[in-house]
Amino acid sequence: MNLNGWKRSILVASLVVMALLGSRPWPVRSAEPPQGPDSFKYFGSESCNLCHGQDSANPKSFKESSKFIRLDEYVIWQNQDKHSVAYTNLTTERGRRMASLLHVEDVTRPEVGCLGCHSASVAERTNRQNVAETFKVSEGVSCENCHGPYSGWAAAHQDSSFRTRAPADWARVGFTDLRTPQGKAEKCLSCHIGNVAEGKVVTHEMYAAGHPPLPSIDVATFANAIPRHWYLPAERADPKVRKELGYQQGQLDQTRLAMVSAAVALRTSLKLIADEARTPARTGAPGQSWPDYARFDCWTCHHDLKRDGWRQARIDRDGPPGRVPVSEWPRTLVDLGIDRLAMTDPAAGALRADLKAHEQALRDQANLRPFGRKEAIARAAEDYARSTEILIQKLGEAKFDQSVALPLLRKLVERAETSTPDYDEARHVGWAIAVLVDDLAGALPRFEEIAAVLNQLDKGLKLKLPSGRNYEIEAQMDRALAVIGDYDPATFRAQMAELRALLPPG
Amino acid sequence: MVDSRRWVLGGLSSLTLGWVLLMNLASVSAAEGPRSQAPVWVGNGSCAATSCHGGARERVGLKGAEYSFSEAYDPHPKAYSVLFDDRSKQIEKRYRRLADLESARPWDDDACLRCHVHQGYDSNASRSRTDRFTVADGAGCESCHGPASKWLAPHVEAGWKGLSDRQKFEGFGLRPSKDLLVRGKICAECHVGIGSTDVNHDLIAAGHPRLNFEYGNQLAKLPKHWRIEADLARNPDHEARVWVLGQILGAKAALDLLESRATRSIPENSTAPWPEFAEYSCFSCHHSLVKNGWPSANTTLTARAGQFQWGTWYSPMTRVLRPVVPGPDPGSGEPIEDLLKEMMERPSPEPSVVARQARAASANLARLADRINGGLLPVAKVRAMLSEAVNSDADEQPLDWDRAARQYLAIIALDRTIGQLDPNRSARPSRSGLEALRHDLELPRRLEGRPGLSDSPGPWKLEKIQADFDSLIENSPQAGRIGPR
Repeated sequence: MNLNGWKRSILVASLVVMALLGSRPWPVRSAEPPQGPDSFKYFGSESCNLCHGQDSANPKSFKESSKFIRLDEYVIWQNQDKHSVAYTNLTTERGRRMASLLHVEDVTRPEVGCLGCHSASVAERTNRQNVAETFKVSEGVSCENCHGPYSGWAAAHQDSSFRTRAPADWARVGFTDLRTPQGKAEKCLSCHIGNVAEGKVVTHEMYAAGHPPLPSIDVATFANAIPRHWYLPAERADPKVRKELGYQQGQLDQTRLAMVSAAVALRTSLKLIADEARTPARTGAPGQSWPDYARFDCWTCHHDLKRDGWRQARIDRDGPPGRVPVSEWPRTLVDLGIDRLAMTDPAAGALRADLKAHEQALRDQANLRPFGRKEAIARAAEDYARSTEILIQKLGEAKFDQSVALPLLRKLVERAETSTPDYDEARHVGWAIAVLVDDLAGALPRFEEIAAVLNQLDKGLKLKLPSGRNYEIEAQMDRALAVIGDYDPATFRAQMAELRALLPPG
Repeated sequence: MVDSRRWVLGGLSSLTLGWVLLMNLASVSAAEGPRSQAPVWVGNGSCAATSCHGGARERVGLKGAEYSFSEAYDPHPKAYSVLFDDRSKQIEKRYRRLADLESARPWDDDACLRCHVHQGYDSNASRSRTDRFTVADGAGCESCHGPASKWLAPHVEAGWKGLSDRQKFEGFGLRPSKDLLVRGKICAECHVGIGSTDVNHDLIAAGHPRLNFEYGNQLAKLPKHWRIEADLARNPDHEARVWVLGQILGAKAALDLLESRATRSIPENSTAPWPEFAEYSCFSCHHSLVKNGWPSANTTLTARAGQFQWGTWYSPMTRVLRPVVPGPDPGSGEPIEDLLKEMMERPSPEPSVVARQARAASANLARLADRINGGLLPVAKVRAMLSEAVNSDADEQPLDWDRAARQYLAIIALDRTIGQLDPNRSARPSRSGLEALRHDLELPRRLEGRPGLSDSPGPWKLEKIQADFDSLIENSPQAGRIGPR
């Protein structure tokens, strides 16, 4: 579809309105203090639709720009992306049942705490002044939830110089850095793990009332399954555009994203523990009192009782039997990240020891008594989170090419082969392997056989994610829970052994 | 020969009996306090002589074969040797987080021996037992009858039979286990726990079976080294009485244990587990993810979704007990048990409040148990309790496995007494109906397609079990409908 006359005039009009509302064209350089995030306004996805709603079957209309962006982003989001039904899902039968089990009238009321993730939370939490007339909460997780409230950067982002600005410049106008792996991971994980300050917390009470379990998450894998409405650097045909965006031949962006996002996941989960433990009990909001069991490992408790079950083999690792560790999966790939740093960074060993010490300190607190003591847990989690900053930063700067990725893949598989991971940990390993194998495809002579093992792995772990907005939550839940109930690490280890035999020798 | 030997033994000490008896009774009644000296444990060897309690096994049920019978049929003497099993070593290894199975020596661990030998066992207190005492006897005679040093000689004296049970206990330390309330309290020392003996969630997670003490059921199943006729002669309402007392003394023991658990956790540097998961319904957390659905059926069992359900096994079944235990006076405020339940089902129950409330509730139950123990249960009241027990719909909450199982055990016990006291005029549940219920409540040994032995109800057949209960209410061949009309 071409940008026809009336659409163009609406666009122009809206820009004028925004300018009047306090937005200004790029660059923002003035003596005034920069606008804080609370002063930016949400406009809703229709403002984006004006330009980004092109028909993907006929993208020629914006030929020049489309070397950088697709211009059918809105269409993909609207038609295929589950995020667009995040709000309407609250109004289904499951939503009503959850309301009744949570003893609230309606889960779409802001005070219940669902909108934090299921819609544009910030606006709802602060005040209506942050929301323009055009904003509709019913759009669910729409453009601005990830990219930032529109008012600060509406005009500026139409300038081609905007794309090469530093993330700090974007932040000043409320535009989210989704370019760097760290920025991308932080944004996704603020909902998919949680963030107290942003009002995004899935409590155990919500789970018990029927919220599907938040799985472990690899941002590279999840982002591809949305499905993507953006180009990967290598997919941008124009070398000039690629260069502008810092693209380097041979760099494995997906591998880097997976490694960085694993470290960000750890920090996010630790911060969530600390912040929730420090939040004073809020009356009226469900589950706002410590301990929130949702911060602890789900499958330590939720399983059939059986004797000689594989969980008992984990007792040595997890401390006294019968205690519940904090969520385990975010630690799964920390060692692999340090393995990468150790290839080029002599300080990696010290960082590994430091992180191990913090991990142990947190574990000790959680083991001291069931769920630990609130203050001590919060402190241990905070200290641990601080140490992960270094890991995140160094991984973000590290190079990832095939000469690095191949030994990493080997280490990952070898380590997994002798471990007793729970379901979420095993899945996290599975995704990391899939990403590495994908990036290394050309360097793996027995790729076909490896892919066959990954298919087997997918059967036991449900690695493939349901894509698209028309999938059935209820049917998916039954399948997912059956897979979790049947999971057995012995099978996983056997598959790791098979994989190891198929990798090129080190 | 036997009799003559006994007579000689008795003769030798009869001179001293009067003196000992006098001294002991005198010291007990003296207001200034402690008994002359704490009695010590002497070991099974002192009971096992052929001429005493170690008679031929053929004489089962007759006096003189108590020891030989128990050695052969009662599980208690094997409580120690079971610690050498692989399974026990596995439990010890996990509980103490040992490097390997070879280092696991549960037979040397006081935490195990405090129940598996019992008898006040403390490896550091060798002066509390004689040289003849051996842990190898397991939960020996004195576990239930009390330390024997003071009554061993006197109890074969001629004058012994003339003493009351109370005199035997207060003067000599022989526990009056014929009293069903005392007997139940003795069982509960290990089978519920008293703080120093505590099968808590750490131990269960290491592999120790869950303790779910049910006095009536466990006493019925115990191979008895005494004559059940004697029990029935003393208490014609035996089964029903044991059940009612079990409800009350089980709850009291559990509350005392709770108080101990809470109190131990209070000091700032305490490592005692709190909240103590063993207090809660196992299946609040441990349930099939698939068949229960998500949210699980358990969600509606607590005031807030996602909380642990408290008091599922030990809180008295007040509705069934109502004919013999009237409810609290209206206007007397919220019952302490309800306050305690509300506190225990918070994410972080305040231990000092829990301890206080548990103590108060326990004191109420102690008074109640004494009152019930004082008189015979009339048939009409047993019948009324049975009628409540078959009625599974009367409670506000949906049925869970713990309650269904307890209700089944109540029916069995109450029905037996009806069978003994009033077999022709009372309606009774059909055997096939009870059999169906038992079958549906049974924990499946294996869950379909999953390795390992199961301790879960598996796919919870709520509707089926409800139907089983309902079918019990139908007209019975003898005398009409059992349940509510």
